[in-house]
This record gives sequence, C-alpha cells and structure tokens, in this order.
Amino acid sequence: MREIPHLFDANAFLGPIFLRHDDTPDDVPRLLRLMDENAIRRALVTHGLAKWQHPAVGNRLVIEETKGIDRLVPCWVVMPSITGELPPERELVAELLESGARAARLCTGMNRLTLEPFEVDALLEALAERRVPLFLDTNNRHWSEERPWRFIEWAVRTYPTLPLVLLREPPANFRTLFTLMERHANLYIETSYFQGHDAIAHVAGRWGAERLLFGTGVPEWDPGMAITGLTYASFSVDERDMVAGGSLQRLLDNCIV
Amino acid sequence: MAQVTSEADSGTMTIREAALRGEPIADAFIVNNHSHLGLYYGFAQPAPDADSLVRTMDRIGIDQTCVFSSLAITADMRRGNDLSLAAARRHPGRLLAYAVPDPNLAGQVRDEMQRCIDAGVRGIKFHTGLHEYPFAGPAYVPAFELADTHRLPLISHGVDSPDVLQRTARSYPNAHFIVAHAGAGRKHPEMDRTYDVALEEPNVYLDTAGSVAQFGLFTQLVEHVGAGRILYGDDFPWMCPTHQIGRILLAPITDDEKKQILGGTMRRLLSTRQ
Ligand SMILES: [Zn+2]
Repeated sequence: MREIPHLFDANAFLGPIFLRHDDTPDDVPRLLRLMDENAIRRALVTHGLAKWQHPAVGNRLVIEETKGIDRLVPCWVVMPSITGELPPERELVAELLESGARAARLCTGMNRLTLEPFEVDALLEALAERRVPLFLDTNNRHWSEERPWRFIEWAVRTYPTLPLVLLREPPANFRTLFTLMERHANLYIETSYFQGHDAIAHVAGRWGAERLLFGTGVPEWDPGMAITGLTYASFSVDERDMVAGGSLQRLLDNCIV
Repeated sequence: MAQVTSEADSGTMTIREAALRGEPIADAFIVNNHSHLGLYYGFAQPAPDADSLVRTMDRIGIDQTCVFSSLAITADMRRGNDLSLAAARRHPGRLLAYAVPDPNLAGQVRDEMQRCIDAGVRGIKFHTGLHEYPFAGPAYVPAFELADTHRLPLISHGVDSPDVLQRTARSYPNAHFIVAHAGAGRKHPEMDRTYDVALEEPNVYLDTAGSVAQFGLFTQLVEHVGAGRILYGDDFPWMCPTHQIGRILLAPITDDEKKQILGGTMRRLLSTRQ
C-alpha cells in the first residue's frame, strides 16, 4: 500500500483571481480548505492581485496574508524596473528575499512583456545572482498555444545559475522542450498540464525527478488531474516524492538569502 | 479464509483515497470511452501503442478502453480501422475497437462501416474537425444508419450545433450519441443548449475528455445534468489517462456518481449491440 505523497504545490494563487466563479476560493481560509480537500500540504502562492492588478499591490498582500502560515510560501511577481513601477532589479530581489518570499513569477503576456533580452536582462541577472527560481507564467490555456522558446533558450543559456520553471507546460512541445531539457540543467517543468502519455515518468527517467515540480494551478485550474497525474505515474515512490515536493523545496533552499 | 482487513483494503478505501495513494481503483468497473492509438504527425506522443495503453490502464484500474486509431481519424480510414481492430484482437476484452468513417471518401463509407461491424467493432467515431466535414453531411448517413440498426455508441468530435445533435438523436433513436469533449466542465451559457439536449434526449451523453479543466466546473456540470449523462474519456495518447481520470476521481461528488461516470453507464451502452 503506497502512502499519500506530501504534496507541495508549486503553482497556486491566493486571493481573488480574474474570471473566478462562486465556488472559487478567494481568501486564505478557503484556499487552505481546498488544499485539505485535496491532500495538498503546502503551496507556493502568488497573490491573485499581483497578477491581475499589479505586483506593487499583490507582492505586499501575499507577505501580509501568509504571515504565520507555514503551509504557504510566498512568491512575487516581477517585472523590469525602468518605468518606476517596481524598485531597481537588485533591490527588488533583495526585498523579495528579506520579505520571506523564495520565488519569482514572470507574467509575460499579462504584463505585455516582449521578453527581448534588452527588456529583461537586468531582471534575470539579479535573480540569477541570488539563485531565486523564476516561474514563467504565459497565462496559457490550451496546448495549441505558442510558447516563447527563443526567450526560454536564451534565458537558461545566458543565466546558468537561474532555475527557470515552465508553468503549465503543455504536452504538445516535446520536440522542442526535450532538446532544451537535454542541454540545460537549470530548466524545470511544472506538471499541472503536462499530460503526455506517462510523460512525467519519462522525463524523470531521462533527466531526473528533480527537474519536475508538482503544481496544480489552483484555484484557476482543477487540482484533481494534476494530482492523479503524479500518483499514477509509472515511476518509483522516491521519484514520485521528489516531484511531489522535494524538487521545489530544493530550489527554495538554494536561494542565496 | 478471512483476510486481514484494514482501511487500506480496497473494499473500504474510497475512490478519493485510492487516487491519492496511486492505488488501482478496484471496486468500480471503468470504461474509457474515448481513446486513440498509434503514431501521429502533430506532436510527439510517448508510448502510443496498445501494450503501453493497457499497462497504464492496469496501473489505474481501467477495465476497458474504446480505441480509434489516430490514423483512422486522419489520412487512412481503412488502415486506421485495421490498427484498431488488431489492437482489440491483441487485448481481448480490454481494448474495444471502434470504426471511423472518412466522409471525404463518401463512396466507401457504407462498405467500410459494414466491414468493421462484421469484424466486431463496438462503436463508431466521427472526427468532424480533422475531416473538415459537417456532422449533418450526407456522407455520414450510412454510419448513422448502421449505428441505429446495431444499437452502437457513436461518439463525435463536433456535432455542428445543439439543434442538429437533437434532430439526429431523434432520427436514430437506437444509437447512443456521445458528444466528445462536452463533459469536461460546464462552460459559458451558450454551451447550455448542448446540456439541455443531453437532458431532453435519452440517447445523448457527454464525454469528459479534455485537456483544459477550470476549477469547479466539472462538479457544476455533474450537478446540472446528472452523473448518468456523463461518460469518462481520456483521449489517450493526446492526453494521459493518469491526468484525465483525476477530474472524476477527486471531484467532490459521491462515489456512486463517480462509478456511473467512470463506466457504469458506458458498460450498459456497450451491451446493447445487435
Ligand atoms: Zn480524441
């Protein structure tokens, strides 16, 4: 009889998200209840308003609302500083770590970023210096959507100390994705939408389970599929547990605080 | 000889708990009503063969899968249907072959459907999207007629409109119409007409296969149309059954509702073949 894995969700939102409905958790107690219902012990959380209003608001709220709740680890939304909306890149990353956050999320389409190197190089350099993992959020829905592969390739090649995590990576891009997984050890996959046949076990066997991070996308997306995609994958319990939470913990612990 | 019992025994373990542990679902008869097989040009699909599918079914506890090869819904209906039939012969009782008509080869549809029915197919699959042909088009008529005569399930990816679906379901009352991808979660109000048809017509069902799963909408759909109108499908190997089945296994609905969706209803639809 296998034990229930210790699930540490790498992709969760706290607070209001856009296009939610009556049943969508939109505060800390409702999120914790949803986590309990799905045996999710811990979660890396971004504030909904950091994505759907502005990081200057949401990054402050996520720290306030997770204070004293060990199960929730805050994640900030980051963007370039040139407009003065957020502090200069190095200061921003230092504040992120001082506040207790341990990860950053780049909301590419939502924030109208081109991802050209001239736009984001200072930001990625500042994150890489402190080894703060960067979660790439393209706000994608369906597997047929284009992914920013030129940016992804440039980022992992140029900043080898920067862990880059592809959120909601779809199952339709293995010809491209696997090439980069083979060449760059700092590229990681969050599993919520990684639905290729037995693809999670395949990737773990080929590049190591630590390259995969269990995530759900709650409360925007249904956690059930992400969970059974992990629990029924054809790999060992050790590999399962690494994907379930070990990989994420390893990246968070690796930040230079 | 009485066995040592514990909460861990499948008899007392809920479907939710088995799913969280990754143990096979033992006390539900599970039928996946929507699956493909074989290689596909569009993207790399790991282990898309029949043996690999059956291994994955065993891990989850899926008893039967209805298969229609990817080749059949794309370039070659006849070779593709032969692939499905060969897979069913290799895994008797586990894989159930369906016949796919290519409506672009209108002159061959009736003979090909009859050939497949004689060879033992258990249902019919349309892919109106890939075949770029309307559900109500005349080339599909022989397939509707044979599904009606032989009382077979007929799953279609694309039904033109809820009204066309309703008319067709009434015209062929002995066929079991399954709307592919329509049971993944309740959508916007304009989708509700399809749900109305599923409620009004006794031979219309909704298939759960779908990669996108917005939080809570599957549960809302079960509340809206009832578990008896929804059938589990996973679209292997475009998607993985391990993910797809989680939508049902971990939904906040009763185990009886889960069992109906997972296979209780589909088993009945497969039993009417004449
Ligand atoms: Zn399909």
